[in-house]
Amino acid sequence: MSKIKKMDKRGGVKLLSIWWFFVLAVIAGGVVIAVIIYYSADINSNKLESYILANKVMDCIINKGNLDIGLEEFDVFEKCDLEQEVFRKNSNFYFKIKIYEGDELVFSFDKGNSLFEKDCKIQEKILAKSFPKCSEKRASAAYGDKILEVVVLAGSNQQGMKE
Amino acid sequence: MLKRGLRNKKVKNFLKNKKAQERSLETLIFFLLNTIFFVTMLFFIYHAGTRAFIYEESYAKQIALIMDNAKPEMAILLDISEIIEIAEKNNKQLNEIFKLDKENNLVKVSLSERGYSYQYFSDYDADLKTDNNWLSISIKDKKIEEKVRGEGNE
Repeated sequence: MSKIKKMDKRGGVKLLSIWWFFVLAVIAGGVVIAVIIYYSADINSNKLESYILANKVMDCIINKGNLDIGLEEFDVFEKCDLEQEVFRKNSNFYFKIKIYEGDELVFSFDKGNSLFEKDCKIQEKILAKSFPKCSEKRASAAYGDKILEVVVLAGSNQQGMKE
Repeated sequence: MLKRGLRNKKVKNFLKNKKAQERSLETLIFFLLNTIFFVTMLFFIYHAGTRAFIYEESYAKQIALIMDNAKPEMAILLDISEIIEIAEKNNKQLNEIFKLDKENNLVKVSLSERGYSYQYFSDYDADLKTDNNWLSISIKDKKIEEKVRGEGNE
């Protein structure tokens, strides 16, 4: 007769309690991960912000198809209702205005964090989360008897501040 | 007397019985750990569920983008009914939720002791006013405002 070993129920209960904690840990971990993923989802509006900035600058320098600025110096902040302090060297914003007559660059002006110009080109090629989001607008404008090409590049990398 | 005797015997047997002690200890630890687990879960879920920081960030960005995209002499109404419920839960007054830091060009939204700030790049003079479930954003041209103030002073 084969020896039948009577299994101790208490041993089974001990094993079950370990399993029970393992299951609890998995459930708890799942809930915590789900909540963290949900609430850490970023509401990133940098792309929209750069689009608004590019539009704002373009709309203020071109009026009804005509270039509304002189090709010498002009105060873009006064003209486009922009706050100069916000566009310091290391700020979260950047814009650049380039005006071409054919292939020749006749006017260039930029303000803000100039590093964004290269970062914007990198963003076009690869997805980089902490890089600025950029927008470019192109339009033609009449200037006297010439037709000029206006290119406005704008970038934003603002993260906001939790207090 | 007899009952007390029997009870004492049971207690003595219990104290002598190591296996019984182990089992009861295991059960106690089991219930303790379960209690800790569920209390921790409830605490975490309760705090995650207030969603105040999500609304702070969302509304601060919305208001900043509205101000940047608007033109002078515009007035915009923003529905803030969702945010009012959370502010009431956190005992926050309606007039303390939205603030404009005009010196630093910041929009501040706070539904709790902390808050969230977001910068706008326009040079407008703006006012934020809450009225029931609406936030009124009035955009004014700074240059015209300064001119009017200057004429007023004269």
